Amino acid sequence: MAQARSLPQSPAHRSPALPVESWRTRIKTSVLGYGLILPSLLVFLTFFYGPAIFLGYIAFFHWNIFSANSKFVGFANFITLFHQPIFWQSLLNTAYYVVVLVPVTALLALALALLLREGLNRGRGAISRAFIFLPHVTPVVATSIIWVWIFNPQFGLANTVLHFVHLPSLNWLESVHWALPSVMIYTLWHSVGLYTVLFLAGLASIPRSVIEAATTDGAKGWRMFKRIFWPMLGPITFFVIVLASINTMQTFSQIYTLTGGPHGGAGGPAFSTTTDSLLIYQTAFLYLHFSLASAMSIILFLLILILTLVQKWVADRYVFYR
Amino acid sequence: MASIQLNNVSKTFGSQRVLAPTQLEIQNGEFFTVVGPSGSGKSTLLRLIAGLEVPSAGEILFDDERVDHKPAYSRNVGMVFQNYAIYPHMTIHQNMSFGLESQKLPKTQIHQKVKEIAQILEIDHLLTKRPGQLSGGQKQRVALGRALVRNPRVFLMDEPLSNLDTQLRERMRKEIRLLHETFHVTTVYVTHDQTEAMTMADRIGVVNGGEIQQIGTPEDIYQHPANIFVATFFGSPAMNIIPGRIVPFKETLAFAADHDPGKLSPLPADLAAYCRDHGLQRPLSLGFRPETASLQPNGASWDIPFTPTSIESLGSHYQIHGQWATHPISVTTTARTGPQRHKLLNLSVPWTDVHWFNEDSCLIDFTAPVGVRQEA
Repeated sequence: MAQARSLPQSPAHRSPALPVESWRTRIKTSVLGYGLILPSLLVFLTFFYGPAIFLGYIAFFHWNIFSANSKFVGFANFITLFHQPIFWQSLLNTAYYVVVLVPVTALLALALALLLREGLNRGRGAISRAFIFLPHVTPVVATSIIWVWIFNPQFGLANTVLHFVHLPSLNWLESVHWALPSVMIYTLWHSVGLYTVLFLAGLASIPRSVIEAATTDGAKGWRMFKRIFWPMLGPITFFVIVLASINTMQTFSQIYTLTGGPHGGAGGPAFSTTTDSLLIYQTAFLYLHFSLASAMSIILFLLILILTLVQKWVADRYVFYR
Repeated sequence: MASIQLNNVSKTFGSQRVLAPTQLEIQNGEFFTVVGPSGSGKSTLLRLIAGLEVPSAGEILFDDERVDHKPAYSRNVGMVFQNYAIYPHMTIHQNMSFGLESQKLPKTQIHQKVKEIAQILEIDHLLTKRPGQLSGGQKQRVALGRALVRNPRVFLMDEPLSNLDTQLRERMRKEIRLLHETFHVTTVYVTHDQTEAMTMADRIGVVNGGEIQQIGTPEDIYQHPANIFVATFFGSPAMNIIPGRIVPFKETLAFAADHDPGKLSPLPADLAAYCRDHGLQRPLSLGFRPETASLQPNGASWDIPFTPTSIESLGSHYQIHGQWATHPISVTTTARTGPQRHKLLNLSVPWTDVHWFNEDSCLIDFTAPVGVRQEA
C-alpha cells in the first residue's frame, strides 16, 4: 500500500544489494522457469497465437480453404466489407448491445454488491453471494436453451411475469425490437454475478477503519457512497467496465443459441441480433469467406483495443490508485 | 465538549462477553486513559462511546443527554485510529474538511478552520499533498487534525501512537498532552502501553478481562494498586509478588513464603496487631516494587535472601534479576557498582513499602481508618 511506497529508498543503497548470482545458477533457474511455462505456452501457441498470426495473413489475401493458390489483395477484403450494409448493421448492433449492457451490468452489480456487503447481512451473506454467482458457472449454451423457453411468447415465463404485473406481452426473440434486448436480459442474468463478486472484493478491500472514520466524521448514506465507497472502488470499477466491454463485444454463444440454434437463422429476425462476432462466424463457417471473416476479426480486435485504450486514458485521469 | 457517563454498560458478541457491566464517569475536559492488555475489552469500551458498537445493556450519556442509541455519525465525536484511517484518495485539506462539510458550514469558514488547526499541528505545508506522500508521524498529525477541526464533543483515540517508532512516540505523547491543554476537549485514550497511560492521563482506568480493575490518578494506581493485576501491570520490571501465609512466631506473627516456608519473616508490631485483630491467617500475597528494595540493611524491613542471576546495566541504574530460593525476584538499584552474580545477598524492603493482597488478590488497605478496615 501507500505506506510501503512512501518509504524512503535511496537509489545508491539499492544497487549493491543486487544478488550476485553465478551464470550457472542463472541458467538453472531460467531452464526451470521456461520448463514450467512450456506446457501452457505450447497450448497458447497452437490454438491462439498461431491462428491469430495466420488470420493476420489471410486477411490480406484472397484465400480459400479448398485451394492452395492464395493471392495477395492488399486492403481489398476491407474495402469489400465497407460496401456491405450487413457489416455496418452488425457494427451498429454490437455498439447498441455494448453501450446498453455494460453500464446496466456494472450498475446492477454495484448495487447488488452494496446490498450483499458483509456487515449488513452477516449470516446469510455467504449464501446470497453463492446464489448471485451461480448463473455464471452454468454453461451458456445449456442455459440459453432454457431461456428460449422462458422467452416463448405463448407459454414462456417472461410473458407470464409481464401478465402478472399487467403489462402487454411481448414477442421477445421473435420481434425485431425486442430480440437484442432479450439477449441482453439473458447475458445480464448470466454475468452479473461475476461482476458483483468483483465489486464485493473491492468493497472488502476498503479498510474498515476508513469507513468508521468517515462515520464519526458525520458521513452516511449517499454522501458516504459518493465520497468514500465510490472513489475507493475506482480501480475495481475500471476493471469491471473493461472486462464487461471485452466480454460483451465478443458475445457469441447466447446469440447463436437464443436466436437460431443449430437449425440456422441465427442473428434474426431481420439481422436485428447479428452482432460482429456472429457475422464473423457466419461469414467464415457458413459462407466460407475466410478472408472476409479475418478482416472483420481484425476490425473487431482494433475496436476492442481502441475502446480499452480510451477507458484506460479515462481511468488514468479519474481513478485513484492506493 | 462534554462529560461522559456510562451506566452499567455491557457488551456481548453472541455468547461471548467482551465488556462486563461497567460504571464510568469521565469529567468534562478530562484526559482519561483506558489501559489493559490486548483483548481486555478496552477498544470495545471506546467504540461504544464512539457509537461504532451498540451496547447490549446500559446507557451512555454525553453531559446529561442519552446517546447510546444515536448512530456514530450524529454524536460528533472525534476519533483517531491506530492505523490513522486517513482517506487515501483525498488531499490533506480534503481529509480535514470532510467532517466540517457534513456540518454544512460555509466554504470560507471551513478553509479558515482547517488552516488554523493545520498551523497548530505544523502540517499547513502539507495541505495540498496526498496521504501516500506523508510519513507515519505526519499521517498521525493529519488524523489528529481531522478529529480536532470539527470541535468534537469528545475526543477518542484508539492506540494512536503504536505504529510510530519509539522516539516519535515520545514526542507525540508530549504533543498530544499539550494539544489537550490547549483545547481541553474531553479525551478518552486507549493504549496497552503503561508508560503512555502513566505519562499522559489525568486519570487511568485499568481494564482486564472485560472488567474495569481500578480507576484513579497515575500516582494512585502506582502506589495503591487495587489488586495483583494492576500491581504487576504498572511498573517495569513488574512488582514482585510472593504468595505465602501468616504464622505464629515466638510472641508475635511472621510471614512464611510458600516456596520457602522455613524462612520466617517476623512482622513489625503494628502489622502483627492488625493481622491478629482480623485473624489474617489465610493465604495471602506480599508484593514490593523492585526499586523499594535495597542491598544495604535498612531499619524496620523485610529481609529476603536473594541470589542475583543476571544483571542489566541501563546506564543510570541496574536491573538485577535473581531468585529467592526458587521464586524469581527483580530489583533495581542506582548503586555505582552492581553486585556479583550467583552470590547470596540480603535484600531489605521497608515494611511500609510492602503491598498486601488477600487470597482474592485484592489489596488489603492498612491506611483505611480503624472500624472500616476491611480486606478491600
